Amino acid sequence: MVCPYSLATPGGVQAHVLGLARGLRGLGHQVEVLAPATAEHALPEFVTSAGRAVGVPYNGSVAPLAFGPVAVNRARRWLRDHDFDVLHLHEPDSPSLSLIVLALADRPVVATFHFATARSWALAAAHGLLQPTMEKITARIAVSPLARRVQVECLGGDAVEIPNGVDVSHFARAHPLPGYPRAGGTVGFVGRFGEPRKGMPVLLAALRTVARSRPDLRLLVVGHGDATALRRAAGLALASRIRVLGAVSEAGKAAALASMDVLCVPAVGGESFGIVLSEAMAAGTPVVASDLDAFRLVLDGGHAGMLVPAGSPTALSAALDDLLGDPDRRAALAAAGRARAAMWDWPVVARRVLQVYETAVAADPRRYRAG
Amino acid sequence: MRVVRVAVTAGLLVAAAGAVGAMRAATRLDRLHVRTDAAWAALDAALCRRARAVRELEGSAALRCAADAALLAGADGLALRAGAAVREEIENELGRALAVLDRYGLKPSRAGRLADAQQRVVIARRVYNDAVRDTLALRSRRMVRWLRLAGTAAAPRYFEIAEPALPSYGLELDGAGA
Repeated sequence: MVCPYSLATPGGVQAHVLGLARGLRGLGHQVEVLAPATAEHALPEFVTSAGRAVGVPYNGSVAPLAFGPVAVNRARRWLRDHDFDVLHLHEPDSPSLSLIVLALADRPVVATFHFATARSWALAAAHGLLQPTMEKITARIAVSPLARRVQVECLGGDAVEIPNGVDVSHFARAHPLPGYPRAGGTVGFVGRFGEPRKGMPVLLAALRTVARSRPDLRLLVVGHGDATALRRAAGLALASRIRVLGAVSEAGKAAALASMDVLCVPAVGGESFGIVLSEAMAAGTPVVASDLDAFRLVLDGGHAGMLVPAGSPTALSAALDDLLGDPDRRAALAAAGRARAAMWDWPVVARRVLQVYETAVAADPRRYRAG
Repeated sequence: MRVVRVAVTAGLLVAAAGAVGAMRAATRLDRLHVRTDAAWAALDAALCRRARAVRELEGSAALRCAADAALLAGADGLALRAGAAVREEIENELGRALAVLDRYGLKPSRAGRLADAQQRVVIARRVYNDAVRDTLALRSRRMVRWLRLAGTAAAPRYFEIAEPALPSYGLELDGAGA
């Protein structure tokens, strides 16, 4: 398996690659990962470093990629040292390690596409040049319906949908932070709270109403952003009730989720999966989310969490008030969420990926040519 | 004299570049044809596997008939070129019979095998149609058409069957129709 982004920096794709590798190994398969990494960063024993990554401005952000003679040499040696049945490349359409391995590959290739962004102009220009290389992909996986749509509409291919995995036991086992759960109630928010599309302004407006009748209600915030600006936006009445944990580790996030009475995801658009919903469900935290397509799928149409109209503080405050005052309802939602989260557990997701691997091996041209 | 020599050299270079380009395209095309044939073999195997999983059930007569027809079609090698439309129709028939099947009455192990086999048909069909799409894209290029680089190889054909409405997430079965 090849991860294009450096394991020295945290990220969704990196977490996905390592989680899937562990899931597959747990099922008794041999998995090796090739990824950019730095020497001082402790790597799991199945990871081979492809050298240091350099920050490359790509797709509007800086991607930690490795691309150069060192990476090519390491990739070549890695392929020579192992006799893989199938190669699994992540994001091979970016100028990265995955693309290098794809160019060198002489066996079935499975490619996973993570992002639901339309391709950049640079990629569009390179499309003609890349096409002979991209033709080597045997099977494609998209992590969400949106990522699959990009495949179909922009890249001229179809893909099998397999969602992101979640380390269910990690979230289910987590203990709350010291002092939690609190008697007065805690509403949680996870994400980059400064981005308007994540919906923090809607949540603040809703909380102003709810907080009036609940003097001990607190808001617990996890994620990158400017805490001072958040308190200013919250206003005098609310500012003192907000606790901002900032960016935390995976363990910290699990503990924070376990500390919340309700997780609120008020995003107003642009979400492709909503991994934090599935993490909260694994942790047994009831979820109130906007009724976006992606969230509706995750919450099973509202059976495994509450859906409210996106961008409506009135609807959100009513939903929060109901849930905070109804422990039985919270327990029921937590149970439904836990049951549903089981399907994103890595062993389950890994089994579905295995089906794709086995199909790719069955469609191995070398086997066919040999008769 | 000199002008002629330059012109001849330039002409030879262009011809050589053209020949290299044509050879490259021919190699790619050959690789794509092999990829398509291999993907068909995988799809064929997945379809037969599904028919066998259905045959295992104690289903209705209609379901048994549809599965038998699919197995026969597979055994006859009703392939992508000759009889593809017939094979599509047979597999669609089986798909329709499966759509109305009540899965909750099945033994869990058999229902699991059936769901697995159905999922594999979906995957294999995408893999095959992807190979067809790439092959057809290259075959439609002007150079490939004019130089007849595809030779006598027949153009591959998409395999179009209705996909069962498998849930987007998870493995639970909702038995919804195709």
